[in-house]
Amino acid sequence: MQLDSYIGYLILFGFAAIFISVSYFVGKKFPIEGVDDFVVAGRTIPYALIAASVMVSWVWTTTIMGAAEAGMWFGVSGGLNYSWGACVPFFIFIPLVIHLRKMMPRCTTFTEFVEQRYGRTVANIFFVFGIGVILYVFVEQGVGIGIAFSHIFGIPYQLASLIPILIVTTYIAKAGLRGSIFNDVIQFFIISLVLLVTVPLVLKTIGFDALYNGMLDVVNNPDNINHNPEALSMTSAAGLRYGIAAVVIAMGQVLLDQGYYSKAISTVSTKSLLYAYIIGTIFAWAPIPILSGNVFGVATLALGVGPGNGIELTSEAAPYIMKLIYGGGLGSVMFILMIFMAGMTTGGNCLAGAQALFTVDFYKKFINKTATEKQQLSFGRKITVALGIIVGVIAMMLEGVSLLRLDIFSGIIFAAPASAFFAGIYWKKTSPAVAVASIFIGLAAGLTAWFTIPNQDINWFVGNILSLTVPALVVILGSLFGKFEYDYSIMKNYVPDHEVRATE
Amino acid sequence: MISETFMKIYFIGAYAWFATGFLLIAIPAIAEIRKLLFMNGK
Repeated sequence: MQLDSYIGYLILFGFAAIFISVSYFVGKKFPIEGVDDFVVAGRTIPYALIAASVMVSWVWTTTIMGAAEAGMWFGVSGGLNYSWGACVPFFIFIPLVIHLRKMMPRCTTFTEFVEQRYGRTVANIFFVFGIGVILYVFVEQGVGIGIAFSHIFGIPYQLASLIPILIVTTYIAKAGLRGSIFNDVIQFFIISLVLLVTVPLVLKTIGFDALYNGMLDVVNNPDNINHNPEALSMTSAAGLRYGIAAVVIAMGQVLLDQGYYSKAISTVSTKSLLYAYIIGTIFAWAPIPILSGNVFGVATLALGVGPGNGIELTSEAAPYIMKLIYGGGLGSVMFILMIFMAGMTTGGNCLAGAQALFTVDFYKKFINKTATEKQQLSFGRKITVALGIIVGVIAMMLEGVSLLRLDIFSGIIFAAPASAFFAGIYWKKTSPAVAVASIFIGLAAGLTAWFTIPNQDINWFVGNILSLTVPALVVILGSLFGKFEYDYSIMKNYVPDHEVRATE
Repeated sequence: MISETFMKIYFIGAYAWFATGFLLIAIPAIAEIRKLLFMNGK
């Protein structure tokens, strides 16, 4: 059922008014006094605001729709494998960023660290990867929201994908990271409350007995359209492979996204950072794909619904259950609210990261070496608007393009630099040459597997695994047999080009 | 293959897990926002 487009426009423009008003209020209440204030909120944000922001930033449109689909594909293990797979990169990121913060107290961007550790050339390579991952993730959110709005409300796809991107761009250009975090908190409450109300309603409406019996039929009845003998197994081999692939795909999306570094740096203390990231990811985020996988995906399976019978594609599992529980109108609005908020927060995290990279690293090094902080701020705002427009235009052009294959392919590209970065933080023996070699050898290995293995069911998996493990091997061997040694004590005294007021 | 009892514990446990995470963030977040909004200056 398609709802009237005016409801969709009301949601789009209503929330645009709310979020842009919040950013103007934040900008007035907390005037931006310099670059550090703009890109890392003056390093003064308390624990819970960061936890809420981290949680919603990692809730993508795919965390809800993709995990529901995983529940349909792999049964009860689908959501769990999505969850642990996408959480593992944070187990690496959290200690890494805490170590970075202690080792280099005045650091703002991860590329600043790379420049000190490996030199300008390697930093430029990481800058390109960092901007690439940010643009890719932001475009994907715009496409997801555009598809959802055009499908449910009949709003032209181009408009539906462009408007949310412009909303995010406006509030981040205006109030910087602080404005983004305040809006994230509002979005945190909306996403959480929709889930907290929906999950018990689904379970009560369908009932555990019907759910379990429906799943028994999926397991035992070969005539069931969703027949899967492993649907009630927690150790499904296919599900486990999916989890491993999720680790690789998510690794680059976390380690190369400046948005997560900006939020980590913006926390008021290291203790707050630790609590915020652990609570935001392991406590608040990790159960969401499990709930989506089970309550949307498994419930759809148990009801005997599948492609050609009730839905056209498995990606429609989540909206199908929402409509079933709330009725066509309210269910669609609740579903769109979750997707809209998920896409906006993830896009905002990306744009805030890109803003930091360009304001701190790019402008003074490549455009104006003697720029004042005021000029840096002005450039930061302009580049944020420019990036928003670029992302909007790309998203508008991608109507009808399936992003699933692109997402898997992105894992090959963005996992390759992870080992060089990780080694740069912890191991003094990794040289710039080894770092560069590991990235390009890993990329070559992953891409070769992708393009040369004829079996489409495994080429993506092998490509992703090689892209992550081959660079690790190159780093280990190259560092063990090299004579290079880096002196980390230099970083303690690193002073950036802009003023940093608050450090522990 | 999991039993019906295990499935119940799994589903309700995931919900309780999420509700706990929500409360651990929501309660201090409200307090922090109040503090930030009603304090004088920065």
